[in-house]
Amino acid sequence: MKLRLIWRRHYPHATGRVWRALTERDLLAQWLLPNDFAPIVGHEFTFMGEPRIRCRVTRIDAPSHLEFTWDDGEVESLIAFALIETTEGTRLDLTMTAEQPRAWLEEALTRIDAVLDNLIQDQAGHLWLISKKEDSCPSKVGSPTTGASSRI
Amino acid sequence: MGNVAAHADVFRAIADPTRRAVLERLRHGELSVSELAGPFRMSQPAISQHLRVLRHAGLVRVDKVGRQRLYALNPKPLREVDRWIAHYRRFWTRKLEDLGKFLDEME
Repeated sequence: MKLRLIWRRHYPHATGRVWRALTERDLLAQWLLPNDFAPIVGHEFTFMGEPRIRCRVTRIDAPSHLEFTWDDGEVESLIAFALIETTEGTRLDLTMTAEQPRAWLEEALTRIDAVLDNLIQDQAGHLWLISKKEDSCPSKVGSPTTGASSRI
Repeated sequence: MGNVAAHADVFRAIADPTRRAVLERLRHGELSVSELAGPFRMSQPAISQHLRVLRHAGLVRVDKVGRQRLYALNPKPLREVDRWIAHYRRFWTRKLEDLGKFLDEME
């Protein structure tokens, strides 16, 4: 089974502007990480983070879909950005799909509530975790499961 | 800490909506099988089957109180799953914030 994490954000900017920030190397470097990205399917590139992240472009459909693999040495996942034009600007859905996590990745501790409150399951049986509104700063978060957060 | 197989059990256990509903109900305290079965319109054997999966994954434990068996939530395996997720949640949440600020300033 795969695990998916999704984030939904709304930006008050035209879709073309958001698309440029995702797919132009120098712009991408300014908000994400220094890189040698090119918008070509099959292009292999590296994000110069700590650690370095090895990636390969798997989908480019301007101006709405960008997907690339992501291997940071701990987990291999697929990163997918989907942009949808809205009346207020652009909705961005970021999906990270990973195989089942490995035990040695267990690090930081957060709350159990985050797991139970944010889990949904799609028809393929994959789990989706929706990031919580309190995790985000300027943007709205589409959260289909806003249950009560009682502590255990 | 857990291992990969244990994680597989946890994910399988929480993939089912009924089992998640059982966990949700157990957040408020221990319950017997009949108390758990009540709101689900399921037979007690069906609920017992779900409880077996949850126990196997270590998410639920049984306390024997007199002749009654009470089921209680064990949150530790879920915490371990959440630990794994926390790193990536923090990273991308911060980056998407940075993207928002960058879009505001972009020429």
